[in-house]
Amino acid sequence: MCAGCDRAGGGGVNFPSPEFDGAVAAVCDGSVLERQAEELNALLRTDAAARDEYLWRVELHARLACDADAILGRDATAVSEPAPVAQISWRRAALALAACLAVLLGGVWLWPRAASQEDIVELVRATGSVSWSSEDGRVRPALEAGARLSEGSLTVEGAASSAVVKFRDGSELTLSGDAELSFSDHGKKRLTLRRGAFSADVCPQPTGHPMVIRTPAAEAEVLGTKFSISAVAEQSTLSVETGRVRLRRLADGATVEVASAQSAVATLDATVKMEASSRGVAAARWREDFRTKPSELWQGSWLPAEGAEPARMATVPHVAATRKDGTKVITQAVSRKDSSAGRIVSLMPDSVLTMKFRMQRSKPVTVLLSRHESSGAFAGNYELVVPPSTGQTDASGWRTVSVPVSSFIAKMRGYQQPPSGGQVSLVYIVCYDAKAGMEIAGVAIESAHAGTSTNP
Amino acid sequence: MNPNPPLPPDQPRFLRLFLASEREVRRTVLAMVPSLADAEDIVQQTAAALWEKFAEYDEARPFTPWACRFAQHHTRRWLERRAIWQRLLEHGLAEELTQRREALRPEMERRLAALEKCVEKLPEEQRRLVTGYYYDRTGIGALAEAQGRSVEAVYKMMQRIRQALLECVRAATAQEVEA
Repeated sequence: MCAGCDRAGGGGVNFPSPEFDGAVAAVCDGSVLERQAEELNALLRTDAAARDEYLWRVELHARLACDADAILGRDATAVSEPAPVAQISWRRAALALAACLAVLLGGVWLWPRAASQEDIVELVRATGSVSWSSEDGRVRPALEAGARLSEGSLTVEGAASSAVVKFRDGSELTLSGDAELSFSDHGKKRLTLRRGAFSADVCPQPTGHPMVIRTPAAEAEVLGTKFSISAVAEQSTLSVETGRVRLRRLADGATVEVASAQSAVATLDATVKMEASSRGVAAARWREDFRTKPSELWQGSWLPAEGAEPARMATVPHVAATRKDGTKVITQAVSRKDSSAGRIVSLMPDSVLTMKFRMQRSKPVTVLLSRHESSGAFAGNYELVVPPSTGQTDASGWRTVSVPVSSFIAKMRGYQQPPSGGQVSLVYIVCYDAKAGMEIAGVAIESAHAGTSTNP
Repeated sequence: MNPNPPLPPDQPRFLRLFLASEREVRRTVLAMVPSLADAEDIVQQTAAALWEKFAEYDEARPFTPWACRFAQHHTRRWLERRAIWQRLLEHGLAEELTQRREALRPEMERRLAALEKCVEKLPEEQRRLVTGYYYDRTGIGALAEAQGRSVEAVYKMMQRIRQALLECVRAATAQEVEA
C-alpha cells in the first residue's frame, strides 16, 4: 500500500477528530484524496455539527483568499516585499479585463489554465531539469515542487535530475535520470514512457480501471502495487516490488505475470521467450580502469593508454538543469548507468568510493550516486562534493581520492541518510567549470565484504 | 480588416460592475470548491460567461446576485467533470451546504469581521506564510522550499494557522458579547 493511501486513513471520518481536521484542510488546499472525499461526504450528510464546522472553516479560507488585499495587503508591506497600490489594483482588474479581451479577440481563451483542462498530478519534489509540455505545444520549463500539471508530458533531463509526481488518489511516480513520460487520467490513468525509467507506488485503482503503462515495446496493467519500469530503445524492463503486474509484449501480444521480487524484459523480438524471473543482486565491489573501451553504458570520451599516460575518460557536456527562460545549464561529466542485466554495485555500510582523476584547473568535483532498493524502487540521488585539496596527487598530476559512501548526502528530502543498502544505478562525476578539463583514470565502489561485480 | 476594432461601449460598465461583485463571486465559488487554483478556473469561466451574456443583464436589478447565479451554474458544470469533487458533494450535500451557508451568513459576516485583527496577532513567521499563500498565491511547494521545510510540514502549518484564526475569531466575538 502506498504512503499516500495510508495517509487517507480508513474506516470513516469522525467529528471532531484529527482526521476531520486533515480532510477539511486537504479540501481547502486542493489535495483531498478520493477516499477522504467519500468519507467526508458521508459524515457531512449525517452530522449537522460537522457540517457547520466545515462551512466555517471553508468560509474563513475563502475570506483569506478573496479579501487578501484588505486583510493581508498592509501586512505584506510590513513583513514581506512592498506591495505597490498598482499591483493590488492590477490583481483585481486583471481578471475582468482578461475576460473581455478573450471575447474581443475572437473567443480565444487567453488564460494559462484553460477551462477544459484539469490538474492531474502535483510535482512533489524536483531536482535538476524538469519540464512539462502539452500536445498543443505549450511548455512549462524549470518546474519547481508544488507545480500542478494537467494532461501532457513530463520531461526529466540530465542523469542527475529527478522528479516525484503524485496523482490525486495518492499514487506516486518517481522519474530519475533522462526520462519522458506522458500521462492522462480520464477515469483511467494512462502513462506512456517514451524513454528512461520510473518507479511507482500505485494506490488500488477502481475496479475495471487499471493504470495502463505503455512503452515502445510493452504495455503493463496495474491495479495497485509497487514496481519500476524502464524503457531503453526497443527494450522495456519491469521489476515488481509488491503485488503483481501483467506485462504484454507489443510485438506479438504475449503476456507474462510478474510477481513480487520478479523482473521481466520485453523487446520487439517476438522470437525471444518472455518470462518473469527473480532479480539478481549486484556484487558489492565494482571497479573500472578504462583499459579496454568502456561499454555504451558509459558517457564520456574514451582515451586509450599511450606511453606513460593511462587509459582514461574525459568529460563530455551534460544537461544539468533548465533555466526559467528555457536555456540549459551545461556541465562537464562522465557517467555510468546500469543495464537491464543489473545494477552497478550493491552498497554496504563500509562501501568506499575511490576515484583517480586529473584536472587542468583545480576545481571541486561532484560525485552523484543514484540508489535503488533491491526491490527495484528508486531510493534517492546522493552527492558528495570533493574539494580541490582532497586526496593524494602524484608527479603526473593524477589525484586519488577515497571517501566512504556513507558521507554522501541525499539531494532530496525523504530518502534514507546515510545511504546504506540498496544498489547503485548511476555513477555521475561532474565538474561545473566548463574549462576544468577533467579526466578520470579509474573509479571504484568497494566493500571489504564482497566479490567484484562483473557488470559490463 | 481593422486589426484593432474599437472596444464595445459596454466594456467599462461591465468592468465596473464586475469588479464590485468579484469578491462575492469568488466567495460563492470557494464555498463549493475551496481549492484556490480550481476556484480560479471557475471564476475565470464565470467572468467570460458574464461578459458574453452582459447584453441580457437587466440594469434594474442588482448585478451581484445575477453574477453569483452564473458562478453557481459554472461551479456545478465544473463539478460534473471532476470525480473527486463529485464524491465530496454528491447525494445532495452540495445543495445542503449552499442552503446552510445562506442561513449562517449573517453570523459569519459578524464574526469574520475580526479576521483582520486575528491575522495581525499571528507570529511573524505564520503571517508571512499566510501572506505568501493567500496574497502572493505562492504554491505550497515553493513556500516549503523557501522555508526549508517539507511540503507536508507546510500543509500542516497552514492547517494549524487556519484553526488558530478560527478560534481567535470566535473568541473575539465572545468578548464582544461579554462586553
